[in-house]
Amino acid sequence: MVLKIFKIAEIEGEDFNLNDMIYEDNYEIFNEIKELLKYPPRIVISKLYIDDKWRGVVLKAVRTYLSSDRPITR
Amino acid sequence: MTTGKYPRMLVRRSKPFNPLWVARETEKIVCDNESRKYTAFYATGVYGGIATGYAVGCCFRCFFCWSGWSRDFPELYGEFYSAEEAYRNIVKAAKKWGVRRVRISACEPTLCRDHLVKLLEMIDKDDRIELFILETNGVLFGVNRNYVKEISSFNKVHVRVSLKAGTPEAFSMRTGAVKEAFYLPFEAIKNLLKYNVSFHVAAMTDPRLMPENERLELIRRLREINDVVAANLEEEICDPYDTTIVRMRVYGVNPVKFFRKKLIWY
Repeated sequence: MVLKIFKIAEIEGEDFNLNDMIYEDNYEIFNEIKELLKYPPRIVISKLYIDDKWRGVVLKAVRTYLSSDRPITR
Repeated sequence: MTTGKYPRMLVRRSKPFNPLWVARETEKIVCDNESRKYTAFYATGVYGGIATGYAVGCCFRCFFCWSGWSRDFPELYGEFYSAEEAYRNIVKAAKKWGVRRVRISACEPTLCRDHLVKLLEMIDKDDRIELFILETNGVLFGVNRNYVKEISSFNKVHVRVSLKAGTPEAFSMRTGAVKEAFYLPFEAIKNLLKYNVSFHVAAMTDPRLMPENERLELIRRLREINDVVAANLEEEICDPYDTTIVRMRVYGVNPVKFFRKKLIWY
């Protein structure tokens, strides 16, 4: 799920909220962070990272993200 | 501490200034106890809709900057608003436009610390507001860890640190500030991590301004600090605002040629 948010943020990270950018069929995977979906993707990532419950998951996702072919794009 | 002439629009080969000195000189103009100068209150579409206090005063002089002339001539623009008056006007704009996000923009919001802190205290208590975006160049947060600690006590704040360059030389060239100040925004990032503040980093990596090798250097520096911060980087492009066009011309960049260049992403 967090990896997906990194990828969504590549498309639009600030001006649209995450819940406007996820397709209905994917919606379920975001159930655990329902209260954060109202924020743009980069803010969601940041809020997850400062949450002790989620920090480990974000770190794991970022390792995968940064080892992908084109991790940091415009 | 550098002293000298108060910098206005950036011209090529001008003597670099100390941004901390400029910050202090600007504060003498735009801060008055708990009051700060603003030119307008309105809402705009960025961040999915956000009420904005258009405030006066910055400690950088980027030649690609879009903000109004109040950046260069803070004495000539704006009226003083107490923190409470600013809060009321920002909330009024939020209500009018049906948005729950707010910010101070067009300036360096970390100037006038007393004003900002008091404003954040009121925002934090207001259930109508869900988020305060604090857009900063990172200079004062880099030099003052306690300031970041104080900001960390507010639940609704999300900080956006805006980087201008990937090397000290490019930083000085684009902002007008001394090369040594290049490291301060990176220190700000470390301080924000230390105090567990919600934040992300943006960088003006527009390829017409920043060569690819410099962009990679910037990302490398971010990765040295924290991989999540680097992966969550917001990359900005430069738009032809009226003020940007004039500032470029004054700096010696032909804005017509610049904005006609095709944007080629690396």
